[in-house]
Amino acid sequence: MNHDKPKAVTLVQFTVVSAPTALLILWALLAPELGGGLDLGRTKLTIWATTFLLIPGLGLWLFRTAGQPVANLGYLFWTGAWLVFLLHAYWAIFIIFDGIADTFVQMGTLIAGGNFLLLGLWSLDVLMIWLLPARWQSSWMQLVARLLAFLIFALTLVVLRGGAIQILGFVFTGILVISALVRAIVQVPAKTVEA
Amino acid sequence: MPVSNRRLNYVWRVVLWVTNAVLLLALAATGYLIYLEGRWAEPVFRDAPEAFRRGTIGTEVMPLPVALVLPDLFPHHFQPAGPDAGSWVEQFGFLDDPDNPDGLPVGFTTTHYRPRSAAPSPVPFVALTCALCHTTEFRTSDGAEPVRLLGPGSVSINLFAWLDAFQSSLLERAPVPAGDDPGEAPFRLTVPTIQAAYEEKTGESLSLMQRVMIGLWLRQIRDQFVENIARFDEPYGNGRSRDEDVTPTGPTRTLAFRTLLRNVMGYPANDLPIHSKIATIYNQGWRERAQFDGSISNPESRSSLAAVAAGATADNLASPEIVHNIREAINYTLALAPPKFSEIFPDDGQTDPEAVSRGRQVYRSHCFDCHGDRSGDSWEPGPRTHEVVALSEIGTDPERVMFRHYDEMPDALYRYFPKEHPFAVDRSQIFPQPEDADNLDIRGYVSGPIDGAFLRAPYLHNASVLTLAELINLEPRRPVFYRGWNLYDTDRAGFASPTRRDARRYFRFDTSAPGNANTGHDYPWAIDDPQRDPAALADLLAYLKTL
Repeated sequence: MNHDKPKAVTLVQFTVVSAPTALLILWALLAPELGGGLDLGRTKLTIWATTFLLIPGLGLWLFRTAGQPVANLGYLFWTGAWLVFLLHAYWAIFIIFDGIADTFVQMGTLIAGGNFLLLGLWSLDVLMIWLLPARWQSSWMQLVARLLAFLIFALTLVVLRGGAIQILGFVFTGILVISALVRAIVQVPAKTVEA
Repeated sequence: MPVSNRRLNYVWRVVLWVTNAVLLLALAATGYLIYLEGRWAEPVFRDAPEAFRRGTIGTEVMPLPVALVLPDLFPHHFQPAGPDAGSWVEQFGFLDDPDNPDGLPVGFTTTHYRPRSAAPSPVPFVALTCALCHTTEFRTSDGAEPVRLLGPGSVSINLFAWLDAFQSSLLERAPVPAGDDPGEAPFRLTVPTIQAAYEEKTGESLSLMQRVMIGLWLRQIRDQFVENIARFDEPYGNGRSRDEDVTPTGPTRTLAFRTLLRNVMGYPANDLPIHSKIATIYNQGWRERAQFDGSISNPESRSSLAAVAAGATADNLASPEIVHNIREAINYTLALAPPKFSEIFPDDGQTDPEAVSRGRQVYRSHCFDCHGDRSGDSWEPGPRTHEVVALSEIGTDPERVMFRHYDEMPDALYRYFPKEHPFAVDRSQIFPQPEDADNLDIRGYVSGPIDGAFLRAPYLHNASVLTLAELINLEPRRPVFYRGWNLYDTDRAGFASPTRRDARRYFRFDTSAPGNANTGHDYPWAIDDPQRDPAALADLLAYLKTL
């Protein structure tokens, strides 16, 4: 059975993802009210929130063939993370920086280009998994979008940042690398299962 | 009793739906809050004079309703000399501002920015402007009509004492029965007490959002003050901070570098006698070095760091309105010209033109090299103008340039602003340079233009000499005098002092105290120099009044 698309999402599955997503958004937007720079705080905390949601979003996707509920949760967390990442992109591009061109100037072409590429691919992937029928889904597209997300977040958090978010970066990277290893270990050829 | 799985499932589904609905509503409310925030603070871009007078420089202190009621709620802190000695404005040396729509003194403005972050606020915050410190009044007798000028450092302002009163009010707790721990008593200043006093004073009420913001501010700043007690000790309160034995800074002076040591470098910086006079800021375009020690050569760095010393942060100094205000205020001071002596004091006799002419010759012989001279509407620099004159040569009080961490400060200030910040500092423009950090021999005070010399009293970087007559050693320098609302002495060009403390001159300035030395700068001659020529010095004084 193909699990490349969310199907028959239950209310429980939806709430399991919507609750942490909504709470993380509220935290990212409201916590900076308590001190520090409001806009910079929101920009930073939306990245924290995105990272928290990406861990199950990517980890569960690796095990989506275990069953449709797992696949559904993986796609839901991936979508929740995308929503928070959209908020982050809005604050970064239009509040902290002065538009797209200024974002390239301030961040440099390589980093800004990578982030915009991720934003585009991620958005396309989310739209595809929710709007297109199963026969139009592409495992390769999903793999590329998720691999890019993983690499950009892991590199940014672990290599380019310091302090607490770097620790989160190590946690993020560690969990997902271990998940991928486990996935590789438990993977068996499809016909073996059928046999 | 059996359980109906169908009903249980129904309840479970209702709980899930309600959870999602509540979260959706919370997200919508947050979105609406963010929408409202975008409308609370509309940036105001003032012209240069208004930016100087009314533009915030990132120094938001407290919500306006708090500022309006605090002196009423805590008169023992804000009117320490008693209600008959004048309002809090007068007792801390501020100037009434009839044009201020909120009835606050000169140099107080309101914004809708929160302190330190410039995040929008539904309640106006009171902020300090450049005019607070750089506006003053000259009067020749108590009760006489004063002349108000923008440019000189305020003669009367006692900023540190006022800040102590502010902190004391926020930390004051309700009285407790004997034997109880006073540290457990509730704080006296709360949102309900502020609201009640505000309604009584203005007849207006505070909205829910305003009360929430005041509560948020109160909690944050009080936490900060409580945390600071362990580092800096408690504020004194009850006006004790106006006393020289408690807060030796006094009127007209600041401890700007103490604030930088604390806020930028994280040191306690207690008991450092690095008192600096609030500078006169005429014709800043003529100056190559700022600060009395010439440690900054970039006007933007000077002003942004002055704002940091007054409470601004790298965060709020990136706000477009605050950046604009600081840059325009700088523009205002570039060509701000002092008035002439005769314009300020028309009733105090004409200066003898011949004495002025003779005095100019004395000036050119003894003063010009370092200070330069007026040349029409411009300034002719001397060969050593803008030079930092070493302590060993100038001989004035050393504390200002010899304090601990002086050598580390330029690097710390350089690192304070990120590279992309509007006020990012160029390391080559702050001194000492890295290779000179440990060189004590080059530390000293900069010799700058002295246009409007008669308005620059009290003299020397530590305000330890009251008059020009004393500065040039025409008369002996007073070892002790009293500061506050000092009257102007037109004969001696500077400030008069009573022989004993009075209500308006309450601060005893003892030049033997650390950081207060009135020694050095013995030009043209030391007071005990056999070559000293009093007649020539009288002529020099006449000329100095014309600069």
